[in-house]
Amino acid sequence: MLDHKARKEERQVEVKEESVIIPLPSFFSQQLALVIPPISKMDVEKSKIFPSIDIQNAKREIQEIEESLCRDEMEAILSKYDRFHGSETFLLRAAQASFYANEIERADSLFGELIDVLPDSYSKESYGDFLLDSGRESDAKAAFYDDDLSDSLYANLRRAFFSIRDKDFASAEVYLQKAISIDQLDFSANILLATLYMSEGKWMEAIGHLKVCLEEDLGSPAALIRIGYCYWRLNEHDKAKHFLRRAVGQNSLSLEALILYSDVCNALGVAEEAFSFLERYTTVDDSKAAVWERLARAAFSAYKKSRLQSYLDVCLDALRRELAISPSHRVWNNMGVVLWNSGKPNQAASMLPKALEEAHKDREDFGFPLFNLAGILIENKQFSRLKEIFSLYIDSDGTFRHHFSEKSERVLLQYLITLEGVGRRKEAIRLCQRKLESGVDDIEIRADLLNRLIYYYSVVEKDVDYIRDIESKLDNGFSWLFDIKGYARHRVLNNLAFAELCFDDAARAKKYLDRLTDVFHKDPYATATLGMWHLRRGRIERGKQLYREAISMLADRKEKNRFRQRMYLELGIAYDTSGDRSQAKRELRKALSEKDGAKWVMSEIKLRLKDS
Amino acid sequence: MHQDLINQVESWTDPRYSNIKVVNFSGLNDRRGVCSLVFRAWDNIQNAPVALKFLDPLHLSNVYLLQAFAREADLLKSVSKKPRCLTMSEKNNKFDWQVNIGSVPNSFPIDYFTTEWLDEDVDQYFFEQQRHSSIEKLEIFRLIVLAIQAIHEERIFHRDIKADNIRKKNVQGTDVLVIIDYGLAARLDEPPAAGPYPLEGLGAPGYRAPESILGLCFVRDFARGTDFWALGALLYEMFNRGFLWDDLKKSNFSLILPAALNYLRPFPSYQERVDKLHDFLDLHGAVFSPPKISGRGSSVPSSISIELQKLFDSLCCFDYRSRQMNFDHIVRRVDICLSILRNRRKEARILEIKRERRENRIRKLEYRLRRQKEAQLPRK
Repeated sequence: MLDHKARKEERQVEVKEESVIIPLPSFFSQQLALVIPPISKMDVEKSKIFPSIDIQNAKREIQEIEESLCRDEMEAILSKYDRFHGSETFLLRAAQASFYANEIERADSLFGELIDVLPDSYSKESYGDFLLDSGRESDAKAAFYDDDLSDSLYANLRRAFFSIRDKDFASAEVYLQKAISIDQLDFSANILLATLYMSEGKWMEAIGHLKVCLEEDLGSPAALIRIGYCYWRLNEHDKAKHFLRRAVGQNSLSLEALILYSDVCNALGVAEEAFSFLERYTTVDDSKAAVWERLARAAFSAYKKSRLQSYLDVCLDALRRELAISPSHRVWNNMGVVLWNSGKPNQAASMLPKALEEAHKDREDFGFPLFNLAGILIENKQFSRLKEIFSLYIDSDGTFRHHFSEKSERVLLQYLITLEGVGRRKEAIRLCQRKLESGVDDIEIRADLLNRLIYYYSVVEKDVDYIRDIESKLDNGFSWLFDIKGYARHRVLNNLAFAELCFDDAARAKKYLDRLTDVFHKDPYATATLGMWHLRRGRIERGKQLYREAISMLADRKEKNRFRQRMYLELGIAYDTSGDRSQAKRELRKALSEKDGAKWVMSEIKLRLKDS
Repeated sequence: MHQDLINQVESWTDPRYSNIKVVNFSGLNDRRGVCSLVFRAWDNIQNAPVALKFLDPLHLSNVYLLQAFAREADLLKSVSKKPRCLTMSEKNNKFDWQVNIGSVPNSFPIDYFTTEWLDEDVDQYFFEQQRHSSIEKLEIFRLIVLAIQAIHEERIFHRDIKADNIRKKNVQGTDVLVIIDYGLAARLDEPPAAGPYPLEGLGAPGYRAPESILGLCFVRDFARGTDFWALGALLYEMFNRGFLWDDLKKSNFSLILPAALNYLRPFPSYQERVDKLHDFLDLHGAVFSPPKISGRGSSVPSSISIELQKLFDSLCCFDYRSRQMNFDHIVRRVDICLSILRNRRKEARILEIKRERRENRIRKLEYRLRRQKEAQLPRK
């Protein structure tokens, strides 16, 4: 049976992919973070990760809450100055309290006293931290580069920290190796060294050090995120997902872990697995558009698998929240897709032009909204309206007027359907041929274009030479076909077999059917084609049986009717060939009475009835 | 206003008290305590120094603080004479504060009460911790646990436990510790005082439990737990040079706390917030992991670091429901640490085991790194 219709495209919620910043555990008050590219770009961009500095906003919020109390604390401590001014613990706490109460000068003088009383590494490092926290970076550097601190683990970590910030990775590694030589099992030294290795693409080395971190601090989310990321880069996707899942489990408030886990789940086709974590996160922080966006994607994925309306409701709500925070063409597009799936195509069709408009305004890729809008209009058979919309973006020769990358080839396919829909089939076929010759990147789209040509030249134009020309190119020009696996490939082979049967060449058809053995009794089209082959060979019962099996595999009523019609037609031909003309007539009449049949099949039946 | 009252109290010619001197006020910008003025005086009847605690005249119109002051006297009365508790010398009384309104002389009765004066504090174990052995510090910590247990047994929770509020007292030749300043204390089985509640919570930074920072420590279910968090903070600051607060800021405490605030924000009623806090703790309570008590700048002996970390983790647990609130258990853990430190052979054995474990881990790590390097070499 000819499988000529374009496969119904998955409607997709588009998510902005952005770099993820993974902060280090806060053993420093200023955080050193690892900026990693989006999951989908990891395979193309080589090791484009670089550390940068990030200070958590959350810390500031807490500081504000406690600042007034710190002032009381400072007064209380300083009232004991006369009694304890010779003690290093007292002086350090007095200095810390003064710093938190924003009495920087006083804190500075207390740190000075502290170093006079006990000039050990801890006192000097605490002073260095204070200098850094109060914005005196060059003084802080001088404090940490003190020769007395060359054997201090913490000072070496700080030096590495400065070197990484200055993008001097070689020096950073020297300091980190020094720190590791002081304590091989130190968490901070190992995680920093691992981060450095990650930036150099040394994934296995990084994992080695990160595992030490995990032993030191069981379930440290910072280490788990990094391990997950390393495994992803090593193409061990299940392991990556496992570690990221552990990271979000350990720290459900880690935005970085959550985004990375959500993107990995999506890349593995199980976006819904991040749903509960994303939903939970929004209860404590509803200001992150990235989270709402991913929640919508996860809910949509869950809907596609469970068909539960409640997921669509969550998805729509998440998109509304995202729209309120950061309106963009993506949100409008996603709203359109979700409404479309909620059975509200008209509302959806009103959202998607808005998405197109916003994308134009922002000079962003408008592939997704155009693709989705075309999908709705094709489904509603509004070809004329779609043709008008396409005329804004596509020239009559099929070239896109504005550049867009995402989905451009899929949109081309929709354009072909639209041309067919408005009755310009020949134009569509010419475009098909041109595109196939000029090259289309997506092999599945190429296969689809090829199917259109096979369909056209086997049942509309009935040009056996053209079909043979295609067949001759299978080993040469169209050898890419054998690079595809699964549905797209066996669809072409099935259609070629069907075409050959239409031209009464069962032997050639057999050549293709032999390559389809693994999909018989699974794929209705291939099974029906096999039935057709049997019928053409005069094996009426076997052919009928296979046709009925194929029909039983279908869910769509119209498609079932189409298959049944073809079965009656083939039975008619088979009986006619065997000389049973009255039975042939009966079968042909049955075929004629089937609704939902294709026009070209109807005309063929009428022709055969007339002949008989 | 303050200075006037202070002057009048200090020059008070009461037959019972003499040598009266304010101790927590030397100017509006230099004062300690929230709602009271404390004076040291000599009690001519008991022939001992006493503390006179007056309600701060600034808060005469604050219903909550008025009630809190009355409650403090009441609580002290109930624990007075109990072992390991502060003794009250004179119950609630009034002082006639002479104030001129315009040019008309007036008299305001100001509440005050009197407690025993305890001079000896425990500050040196916190501010000069390096001069005390771990055994001494643990013994003091044990006494602090017993002092808090003494007030909890009276069904009172303190809410402002910190080194500043602990005093040493000699009872029949034995040193005990007592908790002072019941200004923020309350009774477990009494409803919270009415009036505008201090939303920013109660207690000192680092010593304030999360539920206190969230403004919920008045809820009686939570209240007990706040003192145990403070106990954990005391333990930490006895063995670390820096503040617990400083290390909390660097931990994920600063992540979970704003998250909890955000989670409770949409719910205005206290009952809802209490329920929601439970939901939050179920979802995210485990996110917080307390800092290492034996980390950088710590004086925790290696032989007891694991035991002490367990104790600290169980006290400074974000989820109050999982916090260790059994005094006997805490004392038992402290005793285990003390017995390890007092028994040199036992301590040496523990240190040996720890050293072996560490060496094994290093060997394992080196083996792993060697294997990785070998795997990267091109095969012949």
